[in-house]
Amino acid sequence: MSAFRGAFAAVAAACLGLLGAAALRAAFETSPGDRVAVVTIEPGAFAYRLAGDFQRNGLATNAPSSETRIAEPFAIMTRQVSQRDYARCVVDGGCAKLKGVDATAANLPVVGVNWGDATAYAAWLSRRTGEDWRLPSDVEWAYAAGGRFHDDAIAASDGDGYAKRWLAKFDQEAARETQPKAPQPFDRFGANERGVVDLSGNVWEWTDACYERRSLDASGAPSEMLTRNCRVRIAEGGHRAYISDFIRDSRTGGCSVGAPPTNLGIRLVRHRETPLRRAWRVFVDFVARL
Amino acid sequence: MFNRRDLFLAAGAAAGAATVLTAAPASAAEAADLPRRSVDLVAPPFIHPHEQATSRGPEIVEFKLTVMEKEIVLDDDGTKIHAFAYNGWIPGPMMVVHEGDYVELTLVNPATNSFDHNIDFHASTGGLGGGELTHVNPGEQVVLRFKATRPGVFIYHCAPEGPMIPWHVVSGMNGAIMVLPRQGLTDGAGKPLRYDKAFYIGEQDFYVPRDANGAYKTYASAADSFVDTMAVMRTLTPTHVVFNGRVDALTGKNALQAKVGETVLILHSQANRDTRPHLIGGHGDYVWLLGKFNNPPMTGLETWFVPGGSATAALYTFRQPGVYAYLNHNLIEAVLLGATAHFRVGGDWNDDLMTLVRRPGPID
Repeated sequence: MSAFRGAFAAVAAACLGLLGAAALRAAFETSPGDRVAVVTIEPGAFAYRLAGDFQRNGLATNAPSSETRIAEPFAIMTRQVSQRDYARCVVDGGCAKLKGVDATAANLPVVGVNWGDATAYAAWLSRRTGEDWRLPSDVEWAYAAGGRFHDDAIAASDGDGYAKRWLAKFDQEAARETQPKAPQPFDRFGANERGVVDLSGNVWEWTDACYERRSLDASGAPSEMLTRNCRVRIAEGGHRAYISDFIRDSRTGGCSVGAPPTNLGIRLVRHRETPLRRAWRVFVDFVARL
Repeated sequence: MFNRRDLFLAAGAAAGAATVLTAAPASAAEAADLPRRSVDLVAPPFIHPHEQATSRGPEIVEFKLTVMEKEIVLDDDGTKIHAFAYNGWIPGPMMVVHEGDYVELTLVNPATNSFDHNIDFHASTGGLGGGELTHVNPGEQVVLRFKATRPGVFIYHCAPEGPMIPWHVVSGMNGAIMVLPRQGLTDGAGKPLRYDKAFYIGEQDFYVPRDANGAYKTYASAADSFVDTMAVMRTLTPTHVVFNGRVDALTGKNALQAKVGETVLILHSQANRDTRPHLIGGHGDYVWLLGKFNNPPMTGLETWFVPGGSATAALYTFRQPGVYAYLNHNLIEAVLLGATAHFRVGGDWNDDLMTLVRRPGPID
């Protein structure tokens, strides 16, 4: 009994020691002068169309849309991550060096980043600020985007053979406008009703969501998860795009027919943390980077 | 007195008379008396209205091509080149006549242009395809007439002299002409073949110079781009391979339209470089390999071949609705360099030809 207590105490002490060291490090890395501009998103409910491929009775169908609650407030970056900020991450050793990133461009979004680059940036920013920065979930992005969210439901009846839905999707994709390729200065695409800037412009933003294939039951509610493929993630913007996680240039990889995302970039969310939650997060990140 | 010699002479005269009625005139003076008609050319991928089988006799068919020198955009990145284009279109427009007709082409080189141009018709005979006779300086025009003696689809292109020849051709200056048999297309065994729609896809290889960072360069004029472009041409590796003059000219909202049950004729030219067309989801029901209609078509093909410097004709009747990609089946060239078109086909699905026994789902 006492041996167990002793061992427990030793492990606890070691953990606290590591946590303390990590917490101290985080404290020193916080740069109050570099506060990231955010918009606070308050809790609420909205009609959210699920992401992924859905089928009913063996035929492809639209994803259901349902009333979804956001229970906790969160902050979302007012602007996408800039080339200057991304370059800082590279200099710090937290991010991969990429071509075409201008370290002085504070008003241009970084583009040509894959999902791994985006999560690495989030982890680095969390270390630097001591805050919980991460890629938004698809629900969070859709809620924050408000009127800038584009519903990708296909206006075609189910059960019409394979071609009608396929052609309706083709027509929908063919109608998309082509965006200019070059990253545009911030505010080029304006703000939405919440004050979040440049949503659904020429930069699609990585989310944390994975590709899912699900089936619907007789009442139209999602039943089983058939497949979850986290090598394919959702990038949100002018349309919902499913992109392989290693793709940096969405124009030559990922989508097939229809206009693929013009650029891939990063916009993060920040959640409130209890001190214990934060200590745990810092510890996990510290261990991951050993 | 009626004797055997008279009979032979009479028979000969009768036969001669019959021959004169069906044979084309033997001299240019007689040809000039033939009926004439003028055709307004249309921009590819469409083709001007024409008969497939004709009951008319040989005619002189008048066409006009005006050479445009202009800067064009090749892709959604805004890559630009200084192009040379018949009527401002890449490819130049498809002309359609019948075997035995005469093509009378007025070639105009506006005074605003900088370069000497001409035209070489692969369908014609002699004079370097007409190229020798049709050099026009800026501010000049010329009228050439040639007899369409061979049925098939043939390219035409600019061929000024020396290094200008490849440069003009890969700057967009090529098109095609179809010489139909007077009785229309057949399968080579007497069965007539008719199409509801015809499309002309001109495939073009472009060679755009890049700077030290890999970005495509732009130039103040075609002349300024010449030396750099020639260096890229010498690598024999194009930077763009496109249908109808630019990436995505025939995809998405510009897709070619058809319906289940419709028969389409797809004419495909490549004036400079080999290509291998394939219709994803379909086939070549009848393909005149190398594009010449006196040869019976091959049937039921998967992918066919267009040697650089020629054109091909393929006939297909759509059997399934949906989206088809018609492309150069070097998939690098098709997807990364631009050599893809779409067909959007309406109609009812045929479950017998293809069906999903079980949708994708977890492995048993």
